[in-house]
Amino acid sequence: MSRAGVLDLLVGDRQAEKVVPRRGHTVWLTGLAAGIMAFIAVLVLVLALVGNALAARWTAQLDGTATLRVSAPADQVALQTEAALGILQVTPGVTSVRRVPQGEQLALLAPWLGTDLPQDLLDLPVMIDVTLDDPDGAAVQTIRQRLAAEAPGAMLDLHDRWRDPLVDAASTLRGLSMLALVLMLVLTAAMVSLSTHAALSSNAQVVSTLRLIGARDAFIARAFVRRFTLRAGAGALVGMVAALVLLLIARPAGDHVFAGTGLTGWQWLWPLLVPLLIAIVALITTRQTALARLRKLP
Amino acid sequence: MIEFEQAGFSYGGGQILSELDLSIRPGSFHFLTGPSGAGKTTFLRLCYLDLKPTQGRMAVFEQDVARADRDRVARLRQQIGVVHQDCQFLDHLSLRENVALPLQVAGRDARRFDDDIDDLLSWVGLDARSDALPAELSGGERQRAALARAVIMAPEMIVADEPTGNIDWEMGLRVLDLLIELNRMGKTILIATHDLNLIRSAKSQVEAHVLRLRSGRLQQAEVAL
Ligand SMILES: Nc1ncnc2c1ncn2[C@@H]1O[C@H](COP(=O)(O)OP(=O)(O)OP(=O)(O)O)[C@@H](O)[C@H]1O
Ligand SMILES: [Mg+2]
Repeated sequence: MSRAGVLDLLVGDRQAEKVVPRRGHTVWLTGLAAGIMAFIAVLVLVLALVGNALAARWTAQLDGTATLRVSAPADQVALQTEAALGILQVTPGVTSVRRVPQGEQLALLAPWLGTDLPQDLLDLPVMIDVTLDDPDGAAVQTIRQRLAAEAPGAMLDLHDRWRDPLVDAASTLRGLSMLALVLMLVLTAAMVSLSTHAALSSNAQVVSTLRLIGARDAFIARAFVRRFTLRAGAGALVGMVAALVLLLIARPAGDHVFAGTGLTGWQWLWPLLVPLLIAIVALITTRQTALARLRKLP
Repeated sequence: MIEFEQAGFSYGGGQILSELDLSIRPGSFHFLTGPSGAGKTTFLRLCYLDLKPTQGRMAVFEQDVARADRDRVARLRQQIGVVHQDCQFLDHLSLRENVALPLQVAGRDARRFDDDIDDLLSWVGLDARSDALPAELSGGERQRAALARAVIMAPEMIVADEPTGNIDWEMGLRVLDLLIELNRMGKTILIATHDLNLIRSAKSQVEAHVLRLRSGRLQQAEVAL
């Protein structure tokens, strides 16, 4: 079947559309509104994809490294450190344990404190680097429970305190974007429905003539369906392209925190869904609106 | 073709038609007369299912109209050719497209009927005007175009509301000749008119029944030749 054939099957043929005169601004305005809707929808969609990518990246950074810090009264430090090391060594899921030497700790602090500090002026806590094979596994729970009992001055830090709220924010962003997209489609449906009503009213004479010569409601509806679907789809396509061009121009580059989270590869295909969905919504809405309204005519 | 059984109609105010009892047989030729406002158009609208009787029963092609849904009504209308009192064209389509419209509406590919449309247009003498818009046609041309559209689907029944209403006598005779020709081909014809000369002219050529509407009731009338 030819491309025109498929199109005709979906939205009615050109001949059927011709029975309704091309007049009035409703169809044109539908295209414009669909274009703006698609423009916003694509931006929102990209926002959702960026949120997704950020969340994925931050989750991947929870790579299993953790730090155990012991700060206790001076006479307890050695004892609690021993206890903590003992716990780490026997807990399954712990892949490596390394006590950070004081010199290394001072080197880490050097940018802030300088190198010429007398060592005993600082009461540095004991730090132990730990690697876990699964940061979300049961090991963390076990370690924390035993530490609480045997080495109350020891704290296991999974480096997730800064990350969790960001991941939460990213998934909230994603959820809100999806909601916005759905609302956008509902708005499209409402607008197309209003336009269909307006078009049917301004063509009341044509509709009644068509009925008189034996047109079924489905035939009359089809004349409007093709027009509104194609116009909304075309408008949305233009809106999508405009949004993508804008995104390409404004794409963050370099070492930015968002770098690499813009659309990549096949992700550029996602925005195509927007005009497609808008066209489908327009098709269904026009059809249902027209049929419902025609049924009420005498 | 069409049966009325104690049928009546009211637009909601007074009774326009009452106690209609009539059977229009296949192949018959009927005139419907009566003074202006008597309900001729209303009666015809009942026949092509634009209205449904508010009392009694009525059947078109053996189908009880009270029980016909919208799609059934549309299909029945496709089998009745109608020349409306005001012609009812789509003003943005050419004469040719208007004539082809019933085919399209019935889901047929109008392009495959190009020759039939040409034949029909020359039959009504409008082959030279086929690209004109309805607004560019004269009254007589509109009437003949409406007749062409009414018969494009080769309906068994043709209903015409004042088909000679706005045209001169010569043109009226031409339209009548076309209708008589259709009747000779076996089509059932029902014409509303108050032009008694037209009825006389028809009666000299075919066996035509004359129905008269008076005070909302039908009478079989005699028209002196
Ligand atoms: N849509 C309508 N609503 C209410 N009353 C109507 C309507 N159409 C017609 N009428 C009334 O019904 C009566 C019959 O009208 P109808 O058009 O059937 O008459 P007619 O015999 O065709 O007249 P004419 O010869 O002038 O065409 C008239 O009194 C008219 O006012
Ligand atoms: Mg009338």
